[in-house]
Amino acid sequence: MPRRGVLSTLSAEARTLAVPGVHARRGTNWSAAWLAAALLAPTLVFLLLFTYWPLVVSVVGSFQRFGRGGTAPRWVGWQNYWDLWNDALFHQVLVNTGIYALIAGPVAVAFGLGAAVAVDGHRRLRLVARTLIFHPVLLPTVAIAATWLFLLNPVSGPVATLITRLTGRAQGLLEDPHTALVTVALVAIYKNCGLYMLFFLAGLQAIPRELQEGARVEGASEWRVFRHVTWPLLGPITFYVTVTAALDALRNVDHIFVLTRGGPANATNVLLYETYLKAFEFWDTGRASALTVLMVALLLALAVLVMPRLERGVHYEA
Amino acid sequence: MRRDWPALALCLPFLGPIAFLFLASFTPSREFAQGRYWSFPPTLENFSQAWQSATFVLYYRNTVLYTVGLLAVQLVTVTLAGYALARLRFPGRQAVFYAVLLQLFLPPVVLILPNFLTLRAIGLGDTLTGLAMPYIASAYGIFLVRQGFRSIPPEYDEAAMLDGAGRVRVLWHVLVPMIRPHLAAFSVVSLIYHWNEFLWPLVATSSNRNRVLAVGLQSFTRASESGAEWGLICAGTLIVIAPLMLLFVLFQRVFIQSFTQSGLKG
Repeated sequence: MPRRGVLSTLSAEARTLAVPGVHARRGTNWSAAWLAAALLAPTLVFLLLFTYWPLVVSVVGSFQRFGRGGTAPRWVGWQNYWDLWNDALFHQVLVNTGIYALIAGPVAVAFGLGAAVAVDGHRRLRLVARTLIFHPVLLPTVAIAATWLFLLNPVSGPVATLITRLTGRAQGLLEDPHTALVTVALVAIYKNCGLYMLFFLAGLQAIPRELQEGARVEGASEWRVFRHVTWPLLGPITFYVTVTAALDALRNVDHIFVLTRGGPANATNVLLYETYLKAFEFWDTGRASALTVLMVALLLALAVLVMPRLERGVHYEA
Repeated sequence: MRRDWPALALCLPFLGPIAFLFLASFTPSREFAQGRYWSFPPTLENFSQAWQSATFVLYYRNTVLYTVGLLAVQLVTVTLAGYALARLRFPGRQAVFYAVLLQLFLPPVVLILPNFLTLRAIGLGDTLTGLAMPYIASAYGIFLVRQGFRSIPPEYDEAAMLDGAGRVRVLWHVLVPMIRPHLAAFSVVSLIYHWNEFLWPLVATSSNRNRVLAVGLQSFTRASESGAEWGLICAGTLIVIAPLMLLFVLFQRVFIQSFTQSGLKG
């Protein structure tokens, strides 16, 4: 390491907020490095064992076929992937996952934004509304799903009864393959949008009031103030919330276990649910490993796409 | 009042389900077919039946052990790692930070199969310890704690170290008390997340002895659904969510602030 001048060292130190101690002038401070290694060791061990080692296990497993009853696995090359490629069920699962994410994600984000604008401020009624919209975030998805299972059951569910009265025909929203996926997505939106509302609220409260006041003084309508002042300033938050919503849509399938179990006729079977079925109902470790690898690839692609922008774009010091 | 109507309209769909859940849990299931969702006087038969047909006490015990035990370990690991990443300069710091951050995109729930195989291989299948292991390294916690440390001017450490205190003492006596709000926010989010968790516990534990609440509720719902025992299902659900709701009503601000912070990225 070349020796640097005191000034440039200090400015580098200030940038990284490291402690400007006696060793600051040297390139590598070995006592700090050893301490760092010791402090990070527990985290790194568990990170390797339960986040990175699983990637190896999945990739290796995806090229194997596992015999029933604990016989040694055989190498089968790309067979598991090839099987998936030719599997009509897998195609349906992919389409379901896409439709589900495209409904559950954007609608929840839009509702979160609308709700944040509606409940912003300190008026008593708005605080109550905020609490109500937020409360499902705290509850287990399974409990939310159990509640909706009751509300939607076609024989005596209050919501099902209401819909029957409005449309004039009996509807089992979860029993009909045409409506089941949308219904499952709606329950997820009900569960998640309160969290997105909170994020948007924090964003709204970080906007200096003078900006909006100024536009109002200039005679802009409320809609124009929102469209041209508020909304552009919420850009980074919107991006962050959208990424969170996409992740939530891919990784939370708990409600499907209660509401439909992937049915009717696989109408609500999505990628993670299918992985669970293959791994723990059919004990097809090879095929389930291939599904895990695909899921991981999807998430890593998302990470590569958004991580640089997340770091640059969103600046809110906690 | 007039300007509050959008807030009112948007929150009504959230009042309905919880209200119906509450009313229905005090009503015999047979009433529902006639379109009656409340009864007077309210009956407790759903609760007594739910209480008897599932071992909720055991599920509560397991869930508390799992969430609180895990949090205790997490608080140590995220504080140490967050400090190292915020305050110490060492080769590869950036790489370690990104390796940690990437975990946000690879949550354990996606890796249920390989992690299940790992737990079985190391002999921790069907244990609460094994259940907690994938979460001991917490990207979210490390990130939040690192932010906390970075918001403290380095002069604090410097002054204490000039007085002769070692780094570890400075960390424990000076810095940790200053990031208490960050640790509190992390604790709330971690407790709620793991209290509610379903899929990984479903996979990681198999015997009833090691079941947690969410998994217990799912199998309870599944068993009662075929008999259209909706009052029973509502009572079971309420048994599971009542403590959370009570805590939320009491400490609303803490919950809302903690979850708001969980979204703030620096």
